[in-house]
Amino acid sequence: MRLLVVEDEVDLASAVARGLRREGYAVDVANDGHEALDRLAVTAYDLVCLDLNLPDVDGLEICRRLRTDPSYAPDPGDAAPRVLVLTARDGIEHRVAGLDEGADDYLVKPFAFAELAARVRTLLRRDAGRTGAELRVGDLRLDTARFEASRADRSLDLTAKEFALLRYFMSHAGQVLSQEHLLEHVWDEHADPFTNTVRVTVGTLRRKLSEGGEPPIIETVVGRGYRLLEEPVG
Amino acid sequence: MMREPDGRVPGPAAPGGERGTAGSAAPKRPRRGERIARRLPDWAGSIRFRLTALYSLVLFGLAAVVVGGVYLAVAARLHDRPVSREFVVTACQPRLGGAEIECARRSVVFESLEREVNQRTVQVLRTYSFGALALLFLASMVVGWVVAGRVLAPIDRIAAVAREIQATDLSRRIALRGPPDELRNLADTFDGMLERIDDAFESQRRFIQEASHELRNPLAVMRTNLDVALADPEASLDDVRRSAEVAQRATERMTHLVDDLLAYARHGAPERRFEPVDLAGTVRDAAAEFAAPAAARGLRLEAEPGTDLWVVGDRVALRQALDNLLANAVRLAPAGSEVRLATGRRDAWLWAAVADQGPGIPAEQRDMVFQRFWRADHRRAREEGRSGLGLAIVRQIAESHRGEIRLHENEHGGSTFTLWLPAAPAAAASTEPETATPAMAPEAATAGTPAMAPEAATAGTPATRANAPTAPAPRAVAAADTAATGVAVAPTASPPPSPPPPPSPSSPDRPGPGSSGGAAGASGTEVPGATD
Repeated sequence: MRLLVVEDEVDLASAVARGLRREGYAVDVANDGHEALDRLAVTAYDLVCLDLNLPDVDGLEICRRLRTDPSYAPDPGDAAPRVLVLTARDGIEHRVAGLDEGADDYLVKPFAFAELAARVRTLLRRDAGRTGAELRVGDLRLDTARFEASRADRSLDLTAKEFALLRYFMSHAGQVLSQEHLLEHVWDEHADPFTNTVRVTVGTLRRKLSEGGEPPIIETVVGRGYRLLEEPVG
Repeated sequence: MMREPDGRVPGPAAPGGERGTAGSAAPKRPRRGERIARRLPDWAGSIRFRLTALYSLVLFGLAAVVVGGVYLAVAARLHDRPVSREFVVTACQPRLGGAEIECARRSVVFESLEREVNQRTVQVLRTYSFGALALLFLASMVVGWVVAGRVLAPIDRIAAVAREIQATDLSRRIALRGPPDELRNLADTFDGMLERIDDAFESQRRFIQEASHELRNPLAVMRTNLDVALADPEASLDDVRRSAEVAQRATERMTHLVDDLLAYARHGAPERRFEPVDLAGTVRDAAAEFAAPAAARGLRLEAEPGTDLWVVGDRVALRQALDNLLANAVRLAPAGSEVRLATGRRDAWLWAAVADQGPGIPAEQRDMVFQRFWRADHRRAREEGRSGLGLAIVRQIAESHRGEIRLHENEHGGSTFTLWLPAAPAAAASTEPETATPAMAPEAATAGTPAMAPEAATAGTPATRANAPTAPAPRAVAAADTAATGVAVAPTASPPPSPPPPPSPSSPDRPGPGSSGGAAGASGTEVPGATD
């Protein structure tokens, strides 16, 4: 999952980004409104943490453009990014205005980071129509709150990036995901698009998923990418 | 329900000192009327009942006088002169068994009969009179009750609305319709008061909201940093140290902010002591304090403190206003330029001005700079730990001194901030020694309501009162040409700013401190002669 943190308080933005990265997300930071709009035009983010009180562009304006401006419309097959508003404006009227402009959730500063993380999880799993913190595909289980993954009751020992990759596969089970798509959604801007980092990580993830002798569950669709099978090939 | 004692019950806040003589003379017990009123049932104490009873009694009394007069007159006329005293009556009686009639002449005294008739007439008159009086009384009670009820209905309405209005819902108004009479006037006055209270609450609410908003950001920085650092079991010492540094920065910011918020709130509150302050000395002190920071930034700080410039005000606040203006100039002016601090007098107004040579404030922002939490550069302000309250505080101080802060561009592209203050009355300044002590503050400082202090001080001095109405607005004054030093200070600039609407120190018909309403009223009611 790729997240954008839009926040003009540098110290706050970096702390939020640090915490969310530790949760296994790929996080970019924009420190003002124009930077945020530039990034949103280029990258398909899954979720935007948006401060409303930005020095140049009002946060609500960003939200509105994200929802209405065709240049920010998601590519076919991508969902529009979720918007989680982080703001010091705590009045009811501000919350209502924020939600009406297309925000999906609203969190008033100062917030507990654990709550922010929980809301991010909630917003991201709404995409897949699930309700709990646990993802299940076939015999795969992924607890997004506790960072535990298991296959057929065998606990998997995954790195943060492998966990994030598996979570993305499980959120899009059955869909063919290209390398570019995975790079965009699971890695942040610091990933070098010319390395084969996606292929390598998919390879180690596959190996770990089948260490107990289970059948392979991530298949390669030649020329198009990878797909997590909803039912493992017998 | 309307039996509240009037304002004579002594409040605990009433200071005893100067009112001792009045207090001992005036009895503290409630008046007799009040004691009676307290024993009556509630309905009997209402104005409606009292009005009805009063009108009915007056009417009854008048009617009784009229009826009594008629009765007495009639009675006297009837008894005065009997029409006749004696009649000769021929009484004939038929004899039994014959046609002969036996007649006898007899003389009869009619006086008693006539008296009888007269008495009966007077009695009837009396009965009818009493009956009519009783009926009249009853009718006047009923009519009076109804009419008084109708007349007083708006008062009930006013009271009901006033009771319903809570501090949280001050938007309601009585909005009494009807002819512009006394009650309508009362309701309109009440509405006006509500309007002012509503405005005050609203501005306070906004201020608190803004302040909490400003405090939330550094709090969020701290909390998130600490959360993230503490939740990471593998955090390195460097990570923890970085979080601690961030928290430290945020704490410094909050400290600045809280200091400024307190200063702002303090200058907004009326409880301050006003005393004669030497503006020239204050300017000199401020210039001395900022000499080092200015030099450190490569600025020349020129001060022309002037002499003998006395204002009645709060020494600390005036100094803070100058400090805030100087701090802005010293922080922002380009290195190598000059910052000037000067003072002057124009009629009944004194000014102190801070002028710099850059970077200036765009025209469209000049109206905003005095707003709370306005900053030209948010990020930079945050990094420097500034609150955005500095100029708002200056404006507040100027206004609390019944003066004004103005900003215009000078010909060097910089900004000139001019603080206009009403000059102290000549008497106050001349009698004050070099160092004014609070004990020697003019009477205004002790006048119960500190908010009124400056007004009272100026209003109470004939010299100012005579000057004030004719004092022209302190518009752009051609100050000494500063071409030699390069920076035009203060009120020269072209185009001249529109004449400031100087709060006139006193209007001739302004009520004196004793009779003013509001806060002063409570303590003023018992001062002898205060209401004259």
